[in-house]
Amino acid sequence: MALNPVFAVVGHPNKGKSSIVSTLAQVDSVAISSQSGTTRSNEEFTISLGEAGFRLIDTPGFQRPAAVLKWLKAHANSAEKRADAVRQFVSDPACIEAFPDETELLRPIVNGAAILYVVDGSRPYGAEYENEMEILRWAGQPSMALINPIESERYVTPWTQALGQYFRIVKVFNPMQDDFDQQMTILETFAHLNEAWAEPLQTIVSALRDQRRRRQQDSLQLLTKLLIELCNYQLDQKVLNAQQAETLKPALEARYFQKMKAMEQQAHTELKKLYRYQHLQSDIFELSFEDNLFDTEQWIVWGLNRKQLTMAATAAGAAAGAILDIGLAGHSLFLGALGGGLMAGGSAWFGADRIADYKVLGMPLGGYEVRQGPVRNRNFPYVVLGRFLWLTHALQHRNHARRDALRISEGELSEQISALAGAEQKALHRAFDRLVRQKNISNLEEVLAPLFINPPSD
Amino acid sequence: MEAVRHSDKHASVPIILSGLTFLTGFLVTVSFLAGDDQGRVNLLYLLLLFVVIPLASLLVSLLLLVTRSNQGLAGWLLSLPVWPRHWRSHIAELVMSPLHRPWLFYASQLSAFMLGLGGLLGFMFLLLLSDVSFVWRSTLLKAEDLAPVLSAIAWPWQFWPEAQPTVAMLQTTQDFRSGAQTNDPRLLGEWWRFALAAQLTFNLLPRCLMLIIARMIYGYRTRLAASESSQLTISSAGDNQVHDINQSAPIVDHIDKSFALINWAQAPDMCLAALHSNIGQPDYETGRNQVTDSADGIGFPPTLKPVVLVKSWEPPLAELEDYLRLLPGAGYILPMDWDESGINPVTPAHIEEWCRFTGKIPQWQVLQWR
Ligand SMILES: Nc1nc2c(ncn2[C@@H]2O[C@H](COP(=O)(O)OP(=O)(O)O)[C@@H](O)[C@H]2O)c(=O)[nH]1
Ligand SMILES: [Mg+2]
Repeated sequence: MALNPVFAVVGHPNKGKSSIVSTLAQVDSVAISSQSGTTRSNEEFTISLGEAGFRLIDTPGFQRPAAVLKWLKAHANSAEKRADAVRQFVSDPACIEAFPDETELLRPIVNGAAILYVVDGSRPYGAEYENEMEILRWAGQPSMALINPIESERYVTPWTQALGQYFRIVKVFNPMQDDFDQQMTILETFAHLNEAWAEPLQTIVSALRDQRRRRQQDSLQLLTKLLIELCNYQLDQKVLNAQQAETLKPALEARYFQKMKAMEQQAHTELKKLYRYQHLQSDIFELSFEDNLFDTEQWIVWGLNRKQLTMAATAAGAAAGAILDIGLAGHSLFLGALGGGLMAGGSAWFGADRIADYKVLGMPLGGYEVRQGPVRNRNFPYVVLGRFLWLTHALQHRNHARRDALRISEGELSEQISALAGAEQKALHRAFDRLVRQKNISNLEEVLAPLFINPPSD
Repeated sequence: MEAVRHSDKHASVPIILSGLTFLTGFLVTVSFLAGDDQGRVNLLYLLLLFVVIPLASLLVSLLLLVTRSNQGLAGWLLSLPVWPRHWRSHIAELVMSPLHRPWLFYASQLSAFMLGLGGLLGFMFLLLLSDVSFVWRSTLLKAEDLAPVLSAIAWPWQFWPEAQPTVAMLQTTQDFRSGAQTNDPRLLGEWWRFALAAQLTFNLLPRCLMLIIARMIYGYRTRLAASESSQLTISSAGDNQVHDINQSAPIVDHIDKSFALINWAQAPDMCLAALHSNIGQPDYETGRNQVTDSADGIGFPPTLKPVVLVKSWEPPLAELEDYLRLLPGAGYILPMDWDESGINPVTPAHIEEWCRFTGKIPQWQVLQWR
């Protein structure tokens, strides 16, 4: 454990220190705010695999660098005493009282942490930064500068030049936007600070890569489970007579849809957890059963449109009903029920006019039972798939430093499906055809796998 | 929590399946060994039930194990359309779970073992409560032909002489539908030991072994999956709290009095020129280093109102606050934004940040001309 590196992320307030820690440690609980001075004390994150690992320490920003440097200069009259002066500064009670931020942020460095100094590359360099860089130099630990291009890369060059005076390694890293590979590259660069760190860092980098691969597999399983649960879900209730069955209908229907929504929500929460998001908001992302699954824009955004569904049915070998349907629609079109008629005409086979059946069943020993569900609508599994894939994709391409809610955007399910090989498409349509008929499918996971293994690029 | 729910289902399905197969084994054996109207059971059919079928199904199990197929008895049973509806989603989910192959194999072995056990119990049940007569019939075979085959089958239990077949036994139990019934009924029962031994040797023991193997494979895979998923850990220590929120300072767009300009930002001349034309000439002008290095720490005539010019985009630091608190009266913070190309408007977020900061110092205000 002694060999494992520790990095203290330091710098001016509001330059993205917490953001860098958040992204590299994959935690969305780090306090990140546009208000400066949000981080008041150190917070430490350990990323480990067995014995190997490293620690990242998020620190408060420098608040009184000029005064601190003055104090240090007064306590070290020659270069070899500088590191000792910093050590003395950190433990001096009067200093802790007068300079709470600096004593806090320098403490891990005095204890052996390497320095990651963060600046903003979108704003010009200023001489006032020199005090803090000088203090860090006095601490005498391996160090590296990270330029965070918060708004632009406009001043990256002058910053690189200025930082080069104080730091051997200067890199550009954007905690909000840089993708996974860039994050891994930065972690690997940390190894340049000390040869002994290469091994633990490499171990973690490959563990993180494994984890990313495994997440695809795990999300695939989540989706498989969700689809089966949703497509088989039904609600039964005993009633005394046919009239009660009728009055119960709205309540049972509401309960059914509520439960379906909750199941989907639960799976999405688990998916977010899988990607280590505990606080991510995506409320706009509600599955609305109130709208017709097939007709409304909402649903077509996520699932397939009528034509695509017909083609899917053909591929699944379930075309007879679809063709019959299209035939009827054409007929009514011919009779003058234009446009809307085609959509609203209600197609029994597609299940366009309803999502699930409400049935009243006579019981063998008298009395009745009412049943809501299971799902009948052919578009339903596609909608669930489209939404899940969209969320997976969004999570894969999101960094943990971001605190904004997930925004809804168009899913392109049909494009993703057509990117599959012919046989894979066919297998998918077949499986979904069986799903809405509540038939067992033992290979659903295999059928869905190609959609996860080659995630669509942005 | 999720794992627990999952393993509950994992545990209950094999129990239900094996309960069903146990019952099946029991009933099939009882109905089969009930024999004809005289309670006679064909020994050769018995061999089929107790030796040939178990051996063949064992072979199938081994084949499935080698080919890693996920079917098998349990898979096949679960795919039957007889299960109640609300069960089916559970079943489908189980069949889908990551460990479904070793789990299905285990469930299959358990079901097959229970089938055999049911058969054994059915057999014992009949032996206890009824007289079973074992006979054999054949047009072509003689007792001498059959003896070596049965002896070969009985080879594994040589240590049990009473359960060994003999030519004499075969001769006395051969049955002809027509012709006099000379058999001594007590002799007819002699075969039960042989049948029991065959049942144990060819069905229950190897099944028991398969069951143990299946259980071990399942346990191993479960542990493997668990260790894989808990590899990478990320933990945190320390707290990272946001504290006080103070009142924001008001914004003013001009000053009435004469003032001292403290150029804390070391802003270039174009900024000063803009300041002069917008709020007038200061009566005193000084820089950051001059004021902090001054003898009294204030660095300008105390009769003047201070205007402190700062970089709007840089967050306010405590060292500025320290200085402001030294000053005797009220004053103004003037955040400005500029680059090489000129002066820019200050962004609302930056103004907000400076108002929040200035609000900490009694009577201080933020200055922004329109
Ligand atoms: N657009 C953008 N904003 C950033 C970036 N890095 C940090 N920020 C924002 O800058 C502010 C300060 O970030 P934070 O990580 O809390 O800085 P710290 O005070 O140094 O820990 C927050 O509002 C962040 O959202 C970046 O790379 N891009
Ligand atoms: Mg911070």
